[in-house]
Amino acid sequence: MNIAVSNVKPLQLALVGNPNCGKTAMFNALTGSRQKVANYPGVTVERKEGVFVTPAGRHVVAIDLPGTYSLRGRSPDEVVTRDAILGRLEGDPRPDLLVCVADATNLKIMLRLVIELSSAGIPMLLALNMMDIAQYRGIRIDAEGLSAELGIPVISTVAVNPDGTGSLVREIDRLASSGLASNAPNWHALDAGEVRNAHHLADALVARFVSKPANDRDWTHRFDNVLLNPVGGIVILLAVLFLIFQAVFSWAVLPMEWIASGFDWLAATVAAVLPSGLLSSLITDGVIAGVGSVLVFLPQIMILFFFIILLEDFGYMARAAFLMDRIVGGAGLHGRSFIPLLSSFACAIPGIMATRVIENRRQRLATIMVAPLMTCSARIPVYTLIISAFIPNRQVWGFVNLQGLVMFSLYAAGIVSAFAVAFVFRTFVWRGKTEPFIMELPGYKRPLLRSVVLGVVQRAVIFLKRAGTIILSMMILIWFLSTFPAPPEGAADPAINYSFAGIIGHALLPLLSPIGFNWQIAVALIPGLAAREVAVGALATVYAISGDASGSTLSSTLATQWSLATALSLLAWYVFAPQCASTLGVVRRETNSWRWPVAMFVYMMVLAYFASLIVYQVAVALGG
Amino acid sequence: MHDPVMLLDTVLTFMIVLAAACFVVWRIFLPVRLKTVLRHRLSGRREPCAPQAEAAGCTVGCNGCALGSIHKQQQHDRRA
Repeated sequence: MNIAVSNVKPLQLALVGNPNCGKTAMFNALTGSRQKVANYPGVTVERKEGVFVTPAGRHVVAIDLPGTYSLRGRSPDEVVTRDAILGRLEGDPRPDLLVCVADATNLKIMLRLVIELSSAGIPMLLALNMMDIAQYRGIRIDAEGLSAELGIPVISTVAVNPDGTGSLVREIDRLASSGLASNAPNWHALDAGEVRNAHHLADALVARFVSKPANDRDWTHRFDNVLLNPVGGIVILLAVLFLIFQAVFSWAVLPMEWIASGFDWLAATVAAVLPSGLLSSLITDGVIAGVGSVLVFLPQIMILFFFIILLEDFGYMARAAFLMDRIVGGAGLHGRSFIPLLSSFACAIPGIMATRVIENRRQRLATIMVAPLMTCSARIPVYTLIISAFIPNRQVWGFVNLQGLVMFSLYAAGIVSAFAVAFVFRTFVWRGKTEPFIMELPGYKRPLLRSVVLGVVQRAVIFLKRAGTIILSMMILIWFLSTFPAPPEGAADPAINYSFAGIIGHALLPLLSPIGFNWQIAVALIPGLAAREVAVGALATVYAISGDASGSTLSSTLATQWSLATALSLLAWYVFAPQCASTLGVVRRETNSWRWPVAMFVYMMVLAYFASLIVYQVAVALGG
Repeated sequence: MHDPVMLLDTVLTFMIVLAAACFVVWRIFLPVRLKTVLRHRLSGRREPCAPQAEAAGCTVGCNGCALGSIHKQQQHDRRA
């Protein structure tokens, strides 16, 4: 197909709408981008930009803005949206066209925003997104009538369908070729009376142009009667989480064995091909043992994210936020804190960034400070390694896998400690009233297989990239520190005892021996500051070089080298320890101060040390 | 150490270790601003101006300005 590409200035197009109406799905469909989408509000907290070319050859710069209900800008993410629309961002031109993305099944709130957006002075068009769901539910929208009344084009779209945005792109072309003229913005913050009038106008528009069937085919209310039950809902939520962790352990066994066998074969092949020397040791003991011991956990991470993305797309995670509101509020956090805390299960960094949806400064700070206590995916390799080494793989009560149960308990410990710490912060540091939580619950949607698979693959790629970059580099340095300097002639102890790593590990031993850590763990904790899972690779390298691994897996090596008390102490350490430099960097960026990352590092380190001390001493007293 | 194979083995090993050390320093220890300056100078381009206060917005993604940070003013605005 020949496309004549024009040389005129690219058209600036901004996607604006309520939270969870499909703006990012639309952005991805238009630009071919793969930004995160999920079926709950507050996923996008930053302005994102992409480029596409229309069939007429017009270059369009698409800007995906965080969702908002008005232009008042009550939280940092809403300020970004308001300022982008009003052209208040320096070096960032005012959009030429606003594409108002509306959830066609819930048009009223968006119409209120469209009325307010008309004061921005920018040409608009209204995209009725999720039209497939609206049609399934028998909702009919008189698009022509609405268009005539609003004075802007109204287009039907289905952003998640491959050809669901064709009509939108054609309309953009048509509008652009007919000339888009903006006026000076005359927006002002609406007072209560103006807000009421806008609501009445939106109500009137819906009454005139939207018809709903008497018997709605939407199952949302029927599902919610069960899933949002104050008692039954909590039981179902716990059961869902419990089953996920059971599956993480049960389903991952075979693929983990395959990966481990693959690395064993690779190490044997390299050892056979390369002459015995430094390079052979670096590749087998450093790279393959170190990186391989981390990569073996890839199946568990993929299985966990498969379930999380499935539940997000289904719309269940927003219900989980609703169910947890009483607990979250009891800890002094805002109900909106649940989504950042939920994001922190993947990684604390997007979780901390997601706190931008919280308008209250104290509650936002409290959420930032506790987000790293939620169990991120980097902890999975550490937890799994220790659990598989020390917890027997057997059933309890006839059907519960004991290893899965311990994993579930560690996640629960992270959640409970986060709420406990938040409660302490809100009681003694940032006192103040907890604000009520208002969130629009999304409708349930059938998860799209493509979206779920894409999300899982993205998480796997992120993990593999970390393994191939920072973890690989760290393993090489750990190998160097564990190999040099060589032992003096006639030395009786193992060579690693004379290395830099041995010297550092033994120097830290007096501090760490009360909590049951040996010098090998001390060595592993230092690179673990860069990323938690590096500690697993570091342990593998240190034990491989010291000759204690003797060809067995790291898990079986640890089972013979450590006591149960040491293993439990290390688990307790990892529930609390601030072992991630990137997280501290993001906290500094989001709070614009070094005070909070330093405070976070200190409080988490103190918590980790005392938790490990108590666990170790109790376990030793009980004979562990 | 006179064995050329062993010499090559040692040189290769230390080059790999040096590369890993450089990567770790680059990724973890160098501040973003310094990395941006170095990246631009190495590629022969003019380095971008320093991030400004919130007026700069987030045109090229978050570059660590005060926009994403918590403002005490927000609390007063809300009460007002």
